[in-house]
Amino acid sequence: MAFRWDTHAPNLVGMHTSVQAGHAVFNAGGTFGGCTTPSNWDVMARAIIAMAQCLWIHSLTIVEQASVCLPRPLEFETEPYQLEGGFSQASPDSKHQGVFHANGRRLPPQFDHHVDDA
Amino acid sequence: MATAALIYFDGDPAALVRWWSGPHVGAHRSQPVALELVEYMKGKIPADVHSELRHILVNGIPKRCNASASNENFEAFYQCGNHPSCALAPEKAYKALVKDAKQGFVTPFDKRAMPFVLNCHVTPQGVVDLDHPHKNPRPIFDSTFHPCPLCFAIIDWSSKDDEPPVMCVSAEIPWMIWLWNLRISYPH
Repeated sequence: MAFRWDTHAPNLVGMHTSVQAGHAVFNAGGTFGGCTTPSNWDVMARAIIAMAQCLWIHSLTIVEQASVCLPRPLEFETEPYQLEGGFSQASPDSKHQGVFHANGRRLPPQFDHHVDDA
Repeated sequence: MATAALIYFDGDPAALVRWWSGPHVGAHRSQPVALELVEYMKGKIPADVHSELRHILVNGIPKRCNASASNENFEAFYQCGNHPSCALAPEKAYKALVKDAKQGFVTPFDKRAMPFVLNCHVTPQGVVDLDHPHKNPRPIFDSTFHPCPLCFAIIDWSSKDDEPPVMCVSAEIPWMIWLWNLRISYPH
């Protein structure tokens, strides 16, 4: 459905004509294999990520409301998971400093997106 | 009906698509609401993303198209025909077309009307997943295909350089880095 987010400008629909199964066909939507389809779909994903992070920071009540819609109350582990052999401890370095700003403010989740092909 | 409408609009596919509306003009996104949403997102998302998003939803894609095609170019593509995969299982190709048409992804019309379509360009099609056990056949095309060296394909009329860069091609590694950072901040 990623292709349905973006549509060709109507003036360019004639340019995206093809013959399929004996019929002529206009294609108004982003096409599989289209040169500019991935970059234009990508904007949607980036907007969703940025908006989700904004809501995460400023609208905690929305997160709380959304949690009500879950099928059952969330339950968190209170004891650390014991893996046989143990976890290696993650330690900060020059690239990875954790999920807090230097001023102590928590960073929002990244809301990573992936589209397999477009 | 599409053919009758196309003749009524003097072969202008842009007029046909605007009249047909629906998903062909992104009406499934509920345009007024989409525009309100774009305005709501202003200041909440990066300015460059907001600008690109507004352009896509309001103007459509691609951002720039500089095209000039001759009748010889059209004839070369038309005479080239589709990839042989389309002829391997025509009933499956037809089924895929019907599905796309029913969902409003494409607008089929009588092939005999094609010479009367304004600014028409035909791109040869292929069909993949004809014998895939878990996927339905679907039409694809190669935007870079040229029937002869001097021909122009649709990829020659738009450029990725004019479009925003693709940045979300991978989510796995960024997510793992985020997980590592979470472990740094929450070691226990």
